[in-house]
Amino acid sequence: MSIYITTDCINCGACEPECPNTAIYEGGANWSLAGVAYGPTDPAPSGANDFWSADYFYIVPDKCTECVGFHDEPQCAAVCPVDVCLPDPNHVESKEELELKVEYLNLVDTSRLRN
Amino acid sequence: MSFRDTFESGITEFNEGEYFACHDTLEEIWRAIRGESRRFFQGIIHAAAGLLHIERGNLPGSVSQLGKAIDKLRDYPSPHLGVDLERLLADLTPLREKLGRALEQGAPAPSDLRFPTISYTPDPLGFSALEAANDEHE
Repeated sequence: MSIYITTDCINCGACEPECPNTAIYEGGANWSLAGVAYGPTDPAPSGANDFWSADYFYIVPDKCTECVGFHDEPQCAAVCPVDVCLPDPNHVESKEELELKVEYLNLVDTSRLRN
Repeated sequence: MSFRDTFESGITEFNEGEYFACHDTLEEIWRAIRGESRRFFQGIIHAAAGLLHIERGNLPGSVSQLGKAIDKLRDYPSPHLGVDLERLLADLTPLREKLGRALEQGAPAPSDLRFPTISYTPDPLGFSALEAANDEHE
């Protein structure tokens, strides 16, 4: 399951630098994966197309691993002062699937990783 | 800056309607603190966020954040760390109910809302105990 940011977000930006996968983007911004840039109407490679936001920080489900492979808990949720980073019921994945996602992302997009 | 000084800055910002700044200030304490008062500080942050959402015209966000504030703050006795929680909850609860009714009816936020302020009496002993307890957690 990836994490999503609800419309309670106050746009403080605390979450964005904490994401090890660079899966979090400011509202209105384009996002990228494996060197390809995506805009507001572009579906993700998985087909997901319901996550982009013009107004609030948003999380790209194709890039979110719930911090599996990096941390014990999702870092966005841990640092969010207003509790708006929640498990996304529309993008449910098991731990095993998330581990495979990490492997896939490491193959196609090491540039996403933070130093 | 001590927790107390930072907190008092945040209270001043809250009472001056500087809700985003208040959230920013109190977030410093919330991030640094461990132990039982952590949810108290987050409760005040939720209240500031709820009022910020009203100003920004985000009715669902205001209802949600004020609800989270009430849920967290009602777990503490009043006063807590100098904050008159009884009064704050007495202000936040009907405000949330009013906004919730507007949300259910698909109406905009009412224009006659009264934004609460925080009644605060300095509590140096409470903050000394808080700092000592936090040192033990580290």
